[in-house]
Amino acid sequence: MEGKELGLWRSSVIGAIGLLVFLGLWEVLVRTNVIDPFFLPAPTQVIDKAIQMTTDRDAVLLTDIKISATRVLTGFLLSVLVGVPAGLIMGMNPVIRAAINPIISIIRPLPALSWIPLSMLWLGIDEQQKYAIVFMGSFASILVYTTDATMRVDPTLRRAAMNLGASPLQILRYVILPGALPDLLTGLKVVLAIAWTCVISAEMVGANSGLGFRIWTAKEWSDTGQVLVGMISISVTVLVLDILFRGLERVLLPYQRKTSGT
Amino acid sequence: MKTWLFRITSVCFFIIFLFFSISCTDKSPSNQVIVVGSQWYGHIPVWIGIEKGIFKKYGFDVKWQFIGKSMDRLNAISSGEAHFASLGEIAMLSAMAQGNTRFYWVGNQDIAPGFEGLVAKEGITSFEQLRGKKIGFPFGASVDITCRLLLKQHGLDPKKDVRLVNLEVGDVPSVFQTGRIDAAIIWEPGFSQLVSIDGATVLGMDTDTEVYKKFGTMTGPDVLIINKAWSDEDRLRAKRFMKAYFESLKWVDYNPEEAVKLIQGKYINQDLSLIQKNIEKFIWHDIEDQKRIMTDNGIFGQADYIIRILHEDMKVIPNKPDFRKWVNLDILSFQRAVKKIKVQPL
Amino acid sequence: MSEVLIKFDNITKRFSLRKGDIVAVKDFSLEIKKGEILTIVGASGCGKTTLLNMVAGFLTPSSGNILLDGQPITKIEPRCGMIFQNYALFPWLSVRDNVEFGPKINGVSKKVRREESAKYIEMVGLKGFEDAYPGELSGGMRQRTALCRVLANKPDILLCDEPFAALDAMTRQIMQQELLRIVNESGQTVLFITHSIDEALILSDKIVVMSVRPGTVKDIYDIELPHPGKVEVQLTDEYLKLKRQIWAMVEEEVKTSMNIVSS
Repeated sequence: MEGKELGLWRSSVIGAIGLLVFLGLWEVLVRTNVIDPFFLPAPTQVIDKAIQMTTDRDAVLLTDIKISATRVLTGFLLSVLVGVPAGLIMGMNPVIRAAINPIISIIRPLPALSWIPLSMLWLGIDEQQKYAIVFMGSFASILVYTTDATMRVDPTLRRAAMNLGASPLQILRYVILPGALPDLLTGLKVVLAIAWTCVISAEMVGANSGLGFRIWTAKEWSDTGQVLVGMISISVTVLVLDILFRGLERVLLPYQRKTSGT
Repeated sequence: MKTWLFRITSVCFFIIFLFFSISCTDKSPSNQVIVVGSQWYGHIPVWIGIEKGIFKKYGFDVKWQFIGKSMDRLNAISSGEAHFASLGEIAMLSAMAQGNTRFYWVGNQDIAPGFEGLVAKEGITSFEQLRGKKIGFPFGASVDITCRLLLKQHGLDPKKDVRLVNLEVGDVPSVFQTGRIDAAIIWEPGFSQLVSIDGATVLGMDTDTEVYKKFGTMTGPDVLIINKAWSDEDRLRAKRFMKAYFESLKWVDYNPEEAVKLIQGKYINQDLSLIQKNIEKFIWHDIEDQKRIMTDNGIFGQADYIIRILHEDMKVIPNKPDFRKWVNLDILSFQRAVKKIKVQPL
Repeated sequence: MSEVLIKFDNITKRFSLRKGDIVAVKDFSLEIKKGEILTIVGASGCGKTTLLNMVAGFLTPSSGNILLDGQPITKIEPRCGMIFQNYALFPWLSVRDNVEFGPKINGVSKKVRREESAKYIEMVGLKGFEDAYPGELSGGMRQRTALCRVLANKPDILLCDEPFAALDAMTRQIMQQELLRIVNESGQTVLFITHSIDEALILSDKIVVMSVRPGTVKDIYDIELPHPGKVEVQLTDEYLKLKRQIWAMVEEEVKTSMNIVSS
């Protein structure tokens, strides 16, 4: 039993049972008033709220999900377009790496929230400002992950390629890129989740739609049910994106499934 | 070697955890009162109570904490982090509708209409010109209702004809200044800042709404809220506190100029003359007035009206709460209690 | 008479490290003829790998020149194809794509590439595994793929840096046979590095014993054993005599490098 992995079927069933027990416990605690329903509505109440938020004449929930997802993906894509090429260059060239590292070290730890004042000043409160916040929260991490992934490409592979006659550009295209891809994709998955936290922060001010906005506004109206629906929607959406991402990995990295462990 | 290191690390973490949990569950001394609020003039009685030592006289160590939004203040009180606050009626009614029973409604300390207004940027001089434009304000505050009432009065549908944007209380003037929104509505001191921008036009005030016309109050007047558990724990203490509060309020009512001088710069960042000019518009309600105000002919009627707007019109609350259940005027009737104590044998 | 393909002309290689200079190779001179299989044996750290890297062009000599067909080697030279000890196969490419890598980046058309790679893959005995990924292959198959990849690029000389060291004894023996077969078929010139004297005797036309650092040529042996791969030959007197001689040479150097006084 030490650290053995259960099969897919068994872990799914056990996981589902665990979830149901948790939800059941939660429901009972609220119904019997051990937990004040004002502070934490029961799962059934949350589901009711969710249905209301999707079927109401304004159908806010689906719109909110769509809008937040658009903001995340746009900001994230921009970060990838800037961060990945920059990371590749930094990974291959030690001089550039040494030059840019200090700047990245300053930017990287800054949480998305801290960018709100400046972004509002420079970009206002339109969609660009939201994309910018997601961008600022993601791109430094993507750059660092890409640089690491690039540097971790086996140098012998580079030698082998050079020995076969590859030019520097060919090495970049045919060795570095595919070699860095697995680590890069892992990093991107992490940053995508980070990008979601950025968007929720960004929607705290200057928004009138989105899951983050929905949660903050629900707080203004003391509607804990809506807050929970918002939070769960975020979890589910991120989960879905994660699954899609894994699918993408399977397509791009077919050889990884087949390692024989030698 | 590794197990040794692991053990030391676990012990360190445990100690840190203990330290934090103990400091968090530290029971504050029973005479400490935490009052929360913003930079709004309505909190002047509390500041005076602190500055002039009135609270101290009654045996209270009052700590002032800044919380900008009414609902955040109410949440602080509900969680026990704060004991007393003056906050917006809208937040109180929403909390009631959602089943929050952790507070008492103990009074309404002022009427101060004419302090919040809808201001449009240069180039917009009428409501009709607001069609399709962006209006920014903190959602859920009194200005939310005021704005929607004003828009409706002028034939605009808040949902379809304009774009409403949620902003932090403190951000409204700066965002308005950058021109990124076309109009904004906030109360003082932000309101003066909006008006001072070149080319800005005041399109409407809270005094232009039906609520004012019917009840003579702002859309969401400030109400006095006290933490239920803290109050119930020691009723005499709660009564003493309310007496101290209203004594401070009376002092402000009779000595407005001096009061402003005492608190300007420390609690409000605004020009002395401006504060003094605005204070004159205030009608303070002292402890005796509450008997008249906290009735169906007083603020309750207005509360019913607002509840209808929130529930039927804006659909932001799920039901119409019976707010009378939260009212506690008992802790205002200090005189009777004192007489009772004097009768006790020593 | 075969012509000289590679000429080491008084090569010295110095490395500047923090603790001081290290002379890896000193006054090294050697000729490798076309079609020859030449093996260098020597103690660890005697500079064998450094020599190989200089032929490939990864390093440049501090003084002296290495001539390929009369021209000094100045850059990384694809004409000196290398097999690495850890195979260095591209894990994301199939066997076929690995083999076609060299021709592909050198502009050979897809059709021609396909035909050629199929030929080479069959030659190394990997027919049927064209679409497998390196991760699915055993050590021996991976080395065959590596060999195939480098041969498909048609190098003038094959550089082998202890390519079979990571394989188990049985696979190693088989690979030695395979290499011999392929090289004899094609007449490929090979420069081989190994620790194993048996391996050197089985494979080579010439064995060069290299001295301990700073490495230089200690001795050269011409091998004229018939089919040294066969076990019978390995038990003959001639084989054992050579082995004893070479081992004595190497032993001397190893002991010197370990600072043990030879008995």
